[in-house]
Amino acid sequence: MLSRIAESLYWMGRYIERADDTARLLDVHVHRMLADAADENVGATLLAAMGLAGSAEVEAVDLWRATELLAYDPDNPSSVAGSLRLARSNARGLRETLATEVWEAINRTHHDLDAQIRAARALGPYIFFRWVRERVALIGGLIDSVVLHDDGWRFLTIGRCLERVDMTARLLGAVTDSDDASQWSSVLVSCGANDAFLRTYGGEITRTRALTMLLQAEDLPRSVAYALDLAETSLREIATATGTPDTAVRIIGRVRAELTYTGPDDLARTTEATLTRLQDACRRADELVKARYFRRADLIEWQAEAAI
Amino acid sequence: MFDRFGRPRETYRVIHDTLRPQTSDDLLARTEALSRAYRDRGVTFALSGEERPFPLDLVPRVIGAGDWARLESGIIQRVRALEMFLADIYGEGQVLDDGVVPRQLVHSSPHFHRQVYGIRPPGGVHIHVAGIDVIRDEHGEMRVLEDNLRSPSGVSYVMENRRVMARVFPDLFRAQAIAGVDDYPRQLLRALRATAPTVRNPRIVVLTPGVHNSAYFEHALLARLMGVDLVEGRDLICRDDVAYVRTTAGEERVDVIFRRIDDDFLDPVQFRPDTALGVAGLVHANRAGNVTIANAIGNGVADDKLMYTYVPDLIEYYLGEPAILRNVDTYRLEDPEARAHVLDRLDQMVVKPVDGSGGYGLVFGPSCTDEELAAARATILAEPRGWIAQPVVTLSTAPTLVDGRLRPRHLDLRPFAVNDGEKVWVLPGGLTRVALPEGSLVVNSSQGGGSKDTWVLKEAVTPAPVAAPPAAVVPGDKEARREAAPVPLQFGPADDHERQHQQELQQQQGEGGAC
Repeated sequence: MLSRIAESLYWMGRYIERADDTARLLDVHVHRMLADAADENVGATLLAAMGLAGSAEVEAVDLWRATELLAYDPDNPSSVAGSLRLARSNARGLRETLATEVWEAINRTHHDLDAQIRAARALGPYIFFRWVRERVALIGGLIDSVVLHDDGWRFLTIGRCLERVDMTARLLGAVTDSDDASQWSSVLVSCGANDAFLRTYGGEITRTRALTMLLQAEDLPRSVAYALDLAETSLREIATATGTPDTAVRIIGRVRAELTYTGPDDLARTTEATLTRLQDACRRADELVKARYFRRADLIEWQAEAAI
Repeated sequence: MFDRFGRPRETYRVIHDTLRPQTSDDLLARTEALSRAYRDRGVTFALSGEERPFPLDLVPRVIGAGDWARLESGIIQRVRALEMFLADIYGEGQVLDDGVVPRQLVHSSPHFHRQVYGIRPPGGVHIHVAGIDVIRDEHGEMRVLEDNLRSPSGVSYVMENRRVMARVFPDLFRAQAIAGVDDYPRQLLRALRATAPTVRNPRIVVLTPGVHNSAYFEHALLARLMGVDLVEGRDLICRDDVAYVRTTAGEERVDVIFRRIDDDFLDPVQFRPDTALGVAGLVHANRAGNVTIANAIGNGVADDKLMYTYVPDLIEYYLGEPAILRNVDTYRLEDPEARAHVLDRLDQMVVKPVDGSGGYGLVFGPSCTDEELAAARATILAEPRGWIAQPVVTLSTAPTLVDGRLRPRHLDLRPFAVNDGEKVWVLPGGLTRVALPEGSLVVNSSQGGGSKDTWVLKEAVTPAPVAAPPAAVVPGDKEARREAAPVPLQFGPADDHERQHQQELQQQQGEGGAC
């Protein structure tokens, strides 16, 4: 498989996942603000969670301004619109590799984006978040059902999984200290994990149980453990096909094992450290994958030969 | 579409009968369905960095079986002669020694590349793909307007137009036998394999400049339909005269490069050193016989508008037969007599740059102001080698949907030929481009042109009622029908009651029958 194609697939996976997860993250925060109108820091917390904290401009931001930045700004690669745009521009270079239906679903999303943003500005951000989740679910469903599950699919899946782990860590980092059950309920709803939670634990929502669900549930596709497991499998299959063992496999495998063998109380006590460790593992795995599989040609200047 | 008595021509009758009862609202709705389909599928070309759908007109263009047979043999003849010419001028140069074409004309062409002199391409093929532009003149004769022997594009629109038309107008297709166009990628792949250097299972790639190229859609489509990798220059590397592609498993050898990059950008060692689109060392690998470049480097020398004027002579010279298709009358402005003739009638002429494409730089005499004519005159006198002139040919028109009504618009046709070294195959049909602005004779997409689905009828038209009932729904004989039917659909528990009920009913009926 071409290195460039593998890289584009990986990034396309990351960006569609980022669009989805950012929409979910924003949904949580909008909920939180409505539930607790006194909290003036929601906007700043949100930007901090996305790694945009620091500048004076960001400190002063309210939730609606933060939503503009993180939902609709097409030039911000961390925003939902920006992620969808970048997913599509990667997909454009993959057209002969991607199944036609997947390309069309992504392209269609891109073309409908402006109208959705206009509607959301008039009617509130919920419809936009829901639309994004639906589009990404459609794209993801097509990827899983019509794309050949070869190395290309594996690179795409690794991108999605690493992004999901990273973004889930950000999302939890923003609400981790709260003990408010309704808060955690809305987190579970936004993550698409509420029904799974109710079936597993019943209706009594606690912080510890919600964290256990979102971080450790091995049978919930949106959990961190599930994503790590899928990333590890895909990394190992690619490494096996290309010959040598892979250090990225070890990094992801280790952090997954640590997570698996942490008890619920320990998990609740050390949440922050766990989230940091997860994000760190994603970052290192990302670097190793790039270095090993996406090696780029160095730019070389050529001298023309004298004409014959 | 109509004859001089206002009756629909035989070849167009089915289309006429289908479209006639439709209101302009229906037609508009169908047009919108077409362009939405194109937008969603990303069937676009890029113009000044902006992605635009290539407008497709609802009304197909129809070419009768007889007309097509003549056109096809004319194109095959032309491609064969041009192929022999390229082999000749990059080899022995007999045609130059014999004075059929002036040596100076060949050697002064910016597309004659000494870098590939003496290379005999694998399989002996220079022109793997040709696009020969033809028009129908005011007397109904098909004439050649231009040869495209470098990287002729547009074939993807031929395939896409057909796909979309079949969805929007299924009734039209049922009524008559139209030659299919989806064989192109298979024919192209076959030709690329046939001209691979040696290997039994050659690795073939399509080389594109990238997503920003105006024809990127086409590059991706061809790669996908041939099942080969679409690569950019940075995916390739040449070492020791062998070309490799970078993969996640390391470097792998490449045997055939179907390139969609111009000569000048193909190899920074040989051509423009500042380009990053190509691959350093490719020409050496080609010369060593380790990689096929399709189309071959340097073909442009045979398709400029000045060389075009010699093609009928080349057909006589190489094949010993007269040209089946005539050129459009063309004046070489180097010749003082022709130049004087043209300069006297500049307001009745189309003056074209020898080396231009895309409709840029055209001087269209009848619509020029006096100042523009004077400027054109000065340009010609300054560099007669750079221009040719043709009397204005009134291109034939076809009904085209403009603002909800059918109006006549001018059109041309680009059939595509694929050459595997043994035989030349012509895709039945081709890209019909239509000039959308009223009265315009310039059909290029960069100048506001659109396209039409182009139908080659398989045989003489036989009357077929349009409103005929659908053909038998189940194809094949009874045997096949029985084979296709036996596995019943499976239903989940929700359907059990219903099924049970039905089985009970059947059983009762069965018992009743037995009585």
